[in-house]
Amino acid sequence: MTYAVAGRRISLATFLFPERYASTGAELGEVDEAGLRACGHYFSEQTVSRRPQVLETVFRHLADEWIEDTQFQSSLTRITNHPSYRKIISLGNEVVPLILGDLAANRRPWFTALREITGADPVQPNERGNVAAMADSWLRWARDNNIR
Amino acid sequence: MIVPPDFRRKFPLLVPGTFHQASPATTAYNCIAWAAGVHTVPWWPHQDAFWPPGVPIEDTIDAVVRAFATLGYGLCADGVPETDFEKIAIYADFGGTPAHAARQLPDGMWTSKLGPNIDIVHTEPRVLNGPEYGTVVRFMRRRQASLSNIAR
Repeated sequence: MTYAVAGRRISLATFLFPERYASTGAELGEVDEAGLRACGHYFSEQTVSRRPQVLETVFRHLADEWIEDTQFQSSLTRITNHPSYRKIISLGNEVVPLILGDLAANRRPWFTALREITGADPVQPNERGNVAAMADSWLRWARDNNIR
Repeated sequence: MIVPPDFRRKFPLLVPGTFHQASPATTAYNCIAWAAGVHTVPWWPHQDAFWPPGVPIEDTIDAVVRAFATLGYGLCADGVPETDFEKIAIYADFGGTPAHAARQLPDGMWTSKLGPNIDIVHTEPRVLNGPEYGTVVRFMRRRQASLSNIAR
């Protein structure tokens, strides 16, 4: 099975998130319908093609929304309850390497998401709150578990 | 100074002349930590941040007040500069949930860390009022006993 998105002359981001992009009514309706089909394919067990690319696009889009909306927030409660952060968690184990990549590069507070997705918690009590130490513990855990 | 995107919308009172950037963006600490004079870990009642032992781990103004009380701060009436005292301002959103804290500097100006974003120095607490942080709901003060240990 291939995605309905294949061969369409629109960007993947436009295809997956049509509400975010300006469009004529007819085009938007067509994209909406195709988007539903594509999402069905994406979450189908038989789907193999383009899945990593779609997952990365979805992750990047949600992460960008989360970063923009929480860029001045100190409340870790709000930060980790943001709808886009919760959607990233709902993507499950497949998104963990993408989260770890962003954690390594930017030291963003992905710790709640990693705990909830993996069920692991490699951070030692004396590291709690130290963002760099917590990130290093998670990245070490990823190496130890061959997650990349 | 690079003004972050959305600055004007989220802080409508933070107009030119009321603030300047004091340090670059970092996720190493946050506003509560900065108000507490700490720049190595974020403070928040949450598993992934530091929170003073014995203070309830809950998102309430009372918990934030009690956290600052561990540093010697007590409630006071306002943010007017007082000789020999340093002050902090605690903000809550319009639902009453803590959202931000700022610290008064010795010259009467205020300093704030804007979440994972930049630190700024601003003229008064109210210039951060708005949709992002709500309004100031508590002022606290303590005697200037350890200013040499406090980051500016």
